[in-house]
Amino acid sequence: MMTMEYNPYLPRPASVNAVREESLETKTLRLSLINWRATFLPGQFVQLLLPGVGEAPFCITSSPSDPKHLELTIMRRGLVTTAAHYMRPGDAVGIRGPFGRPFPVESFKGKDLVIVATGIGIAALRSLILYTIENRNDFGDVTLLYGARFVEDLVYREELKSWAEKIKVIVTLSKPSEKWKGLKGRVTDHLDTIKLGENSLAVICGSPAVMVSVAKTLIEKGLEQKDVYLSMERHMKCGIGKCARCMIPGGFMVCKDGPVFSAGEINLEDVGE
Amino acid sequence: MAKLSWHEILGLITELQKRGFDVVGPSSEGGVVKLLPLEENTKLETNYVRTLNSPKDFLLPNKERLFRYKSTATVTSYGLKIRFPTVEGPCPITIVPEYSPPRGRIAFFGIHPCMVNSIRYLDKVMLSDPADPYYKARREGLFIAVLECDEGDEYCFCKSVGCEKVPNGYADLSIKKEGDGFVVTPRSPTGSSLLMEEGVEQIEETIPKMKEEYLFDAKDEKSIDLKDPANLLEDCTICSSCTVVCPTCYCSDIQDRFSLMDPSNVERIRTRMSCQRKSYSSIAGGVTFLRTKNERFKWRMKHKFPFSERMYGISGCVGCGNCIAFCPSRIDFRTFLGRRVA
Amino acid sequence: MKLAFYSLTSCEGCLTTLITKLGPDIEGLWNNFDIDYFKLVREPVGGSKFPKADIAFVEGAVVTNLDREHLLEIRKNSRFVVAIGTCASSGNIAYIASRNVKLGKKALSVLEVHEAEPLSSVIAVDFELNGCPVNADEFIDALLRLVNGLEPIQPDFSVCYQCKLAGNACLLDRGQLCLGPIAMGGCDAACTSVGSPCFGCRGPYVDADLKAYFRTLEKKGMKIEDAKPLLQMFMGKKIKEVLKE
Repeated sequence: MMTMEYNPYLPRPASVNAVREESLETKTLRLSLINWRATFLPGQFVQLLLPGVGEAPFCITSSPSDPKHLELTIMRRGLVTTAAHYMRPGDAVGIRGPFGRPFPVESFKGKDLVIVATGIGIAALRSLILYTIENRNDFGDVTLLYGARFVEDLVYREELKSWAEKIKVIVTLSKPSEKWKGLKGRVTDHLDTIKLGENSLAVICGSPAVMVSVAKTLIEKGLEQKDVYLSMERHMKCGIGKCARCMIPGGFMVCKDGPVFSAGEINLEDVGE
Repeated sequence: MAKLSWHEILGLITELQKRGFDVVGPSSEGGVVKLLPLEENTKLETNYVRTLNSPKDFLLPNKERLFRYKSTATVTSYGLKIRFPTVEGPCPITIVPEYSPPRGRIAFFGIHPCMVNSIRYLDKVMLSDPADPYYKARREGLFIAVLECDEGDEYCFCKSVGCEKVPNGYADLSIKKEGDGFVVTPRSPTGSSLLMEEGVEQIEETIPKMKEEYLFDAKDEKSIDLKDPANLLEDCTICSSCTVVCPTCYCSDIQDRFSLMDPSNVERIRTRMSCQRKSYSSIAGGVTFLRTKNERFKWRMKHKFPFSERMYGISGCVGCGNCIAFCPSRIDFRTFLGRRVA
Repeated sequence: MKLAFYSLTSCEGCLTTLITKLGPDIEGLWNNFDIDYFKLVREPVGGSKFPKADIAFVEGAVVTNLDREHLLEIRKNSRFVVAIGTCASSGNIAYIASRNVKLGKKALSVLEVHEAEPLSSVIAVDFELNGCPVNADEFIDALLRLVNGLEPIQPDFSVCYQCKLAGNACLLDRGQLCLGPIAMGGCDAACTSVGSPCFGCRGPYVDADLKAYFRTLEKKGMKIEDAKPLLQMFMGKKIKEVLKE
């Protein structure tokens, strides 16, 4: 028999191991990989195939320390994401990937990390957060600043508490109900509370407009462009830079050259639109 | 080198077919010249300037099936309604992708140098790591017989983008019209074996005469951003024809198709996409990045020039002029990007 | 899941197309859904002429008083109403034709004949599937999306786009008036592929630029005035809205 060449278009089998409700509109699927392992680093993504429905890209939200499982946090939006919300333990799915350029975590070691996320954007950073917690001694101060509109929008609400034991967690709501006792306002309102030193670097994920304003503020406050990382979202299709659907200004393919970019690599003005 | 009659040229095609090639060449059909599989009733055309389609339509065909898979999804009750198979135990049920690599070797017979350059560009895109397995399978053993081009029409500008010559290693035969016959030169071992000659010959390639030449200022994104295409695009209906007839526009979409009859049989299909279409730049949540025709036009220019230069070190435009010649409004980007110098 | 297929004033070509063009899928349709009414094929199930349905697919334009009454009943009894075909989505030829003739309202004793209207003039329509006739593949896609509670997708490309993909020489270049550059695709350029110009049966596509199209015609030495009747022929109410702008 001819040896089959690696075909990045073919999905590999997995099954749903558990489903967790994270917020009103988001669920996390925990997937068991069937007879294969995923080697990845925080920031990479996979293409999730729901049989008979279609495929969509999702950032891996679990820690790279477990190559036999992948967790994907999915917000209900289109056809695939809606169908994903109906998945039950035991359901079969297909996975392509992991794809993309991850966070350069090796170069993060010894640094102070500022992690800023808004809304569902935190999903793209959870893997990194878990990685820093698991390897806590490799990093300096780690601060998560997380913004959402309502309490109900907060993803990983329970987990945030356990994270707070290991890293500094700041949560702010822009449209809180009266019951909310925590911080109010947008993430940009609370950037001042974070101490930035020469050893700091920042990681941002959220809506394009928020990412750009946060990145700009941090750069104004003294961070170098190369030390500010953004995780971009586009509708990646092929995952390997062949279909050009995820091309961003500058001529970068988010699937191959990203999804992680440093602010020095891309033009922030173009991205914010 | 051999001097061949029309009859002998057709003999070469037959010989290629005998050797197992699917021979594709220019042929006139329905009032337009296009690349077609050369079969018994398809007449090779050698007096032409441009073809409506291009090698990409054979190397990277529209609606290509990537694989099919089995699932036991069924449409059932209301609510959601597509249910999935349940995995019990280690791995009893799973998705089984069936993949059959494309078969048959392709021979392009009688294409012009600009089109050969487009194959080079597609190679850069599709064979860069990781290689696209479907393209690679089609590309393997590709045979190219170049028909030298004497003179372009008013839409041609291959010389302005440096694509007037065949890139190294991209020709097996060179065919040059001479009087009633053709001078055929072998340029690869496969070429010489076809001519039953020995050795490979270097030739002085014919440089096509251009009606117009241009100097483009498009090396970086900013130079395109600074220009305003509003006047140029007044007649543009955004019909997207330009991207269909372009030999290097490779953007694609990937879709799952399944039938109501048998939801367990799903096909994954790669179809053409166009940056001129709204859905090209739309993401979940209803955001469209390229909204106006000005933005979409600039995007096309950027992908062809600065982006391609940065990613692959060559021009993404081969100067064939198809996007102008087959545009219903004849929108000509050349004076937008630069100035006419000859 | 219950489906119903109705027909108002039309040639019934859309339902016929579904029956003939769905191929083996028609069996899937029958097996996977409860079809409580299908004009031409199955009488209404359960006594009512307008059985309760999750999705009602309606072809045809609203021309008579009965059409209007039936449509209102259909709306009441259906969760989703999907217009299928150009008659239902824009009024089709009847839209302009009925405005250019004097309608003899007393010609038939029980029927009043009015100016033709698309469904959306009378009721709220959840989705419109265009085409004269409707495309069976698009119908399946739309059905599967609706079943999942999602809005179906309209083609975002022109007939020109599909015509070039089909490898056709341009009819405009030959001096034939063709609406390809502004007409909504999805038809696989069926007409232009056999040499007949596009009449735009699906209406203008999302990015259609009528001004640019008129300029293109003038550039080619064609008259805008000649194009207007063609635009009105199939596009019915849709083009009326566009021309107004």
